[in-house]
Amino acid sequence: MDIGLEHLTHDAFSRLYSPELALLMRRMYDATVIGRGLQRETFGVRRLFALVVGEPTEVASNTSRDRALLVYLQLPVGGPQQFFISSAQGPGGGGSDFVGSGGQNPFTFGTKQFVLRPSDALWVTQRIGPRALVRTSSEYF
Amino acid sequence: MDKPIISDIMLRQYFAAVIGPARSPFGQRSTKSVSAIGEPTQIAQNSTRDKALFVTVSRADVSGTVTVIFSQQPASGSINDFVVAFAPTSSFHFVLRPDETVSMQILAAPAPMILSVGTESY
Repeated sequence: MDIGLEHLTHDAFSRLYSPELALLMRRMYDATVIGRGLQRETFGVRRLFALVVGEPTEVASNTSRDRALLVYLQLPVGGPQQFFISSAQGPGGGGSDFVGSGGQNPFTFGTKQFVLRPSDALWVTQRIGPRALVRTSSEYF
Repeated sequence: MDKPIISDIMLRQYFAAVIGPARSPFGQRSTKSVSAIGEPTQIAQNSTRDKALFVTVSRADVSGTVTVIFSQQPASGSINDFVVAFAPTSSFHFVLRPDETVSMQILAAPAPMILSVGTESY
């Protein structure tokens, strides 16, 4: 959907939400739009994780009280690994998780953008395959 | 007072469409098993009166690619609806207005499929 509103004023958020939520929505919106297309990927705090098969690893968490956290999650592409990506509702690997994959399936994950609200966390569980390295880059808005 | 050029629900849909894809798998999540071939199964409904609902549908199983039809209201799939090859690890997004639903039916085996459905309102 494109209704030609790439640059919204704060009024648009204030019209729908409480002052605190309007500010957070604005920050989430900025993080989403500015981060689109990996345009901030080489900025922010970068971390590297060595996964253990079957063991959930927290790769990002928003520890702020009122900011949006832009996270790029980079999974290996072209290998035989498979991964579950899960949100803050608990360390994952369960049936209701979002599945990303290495090269075994037609769809490859590569790098994906996430925008986290305060208290959100992102977990990755490697299902199969040789031990994978996962990279993140994160930046607060 | 002049009527706003863009309605509130349109603004909410816009926010959902922009922010939503970067938010999945956050929000409320549920798992659905769809086993019947050719029968529509409702997978999400916007039961709010004034909010937009962002829906993410992804595969929670890793069996083969399945051809499916996604339909919005009414929940009866037809060949004019959204026919896609639903591969493991792929996902689809929908923005629903109040009272709208989205359904899915499997066109051919393999079945069952296990779906992960995430919803977040804006």
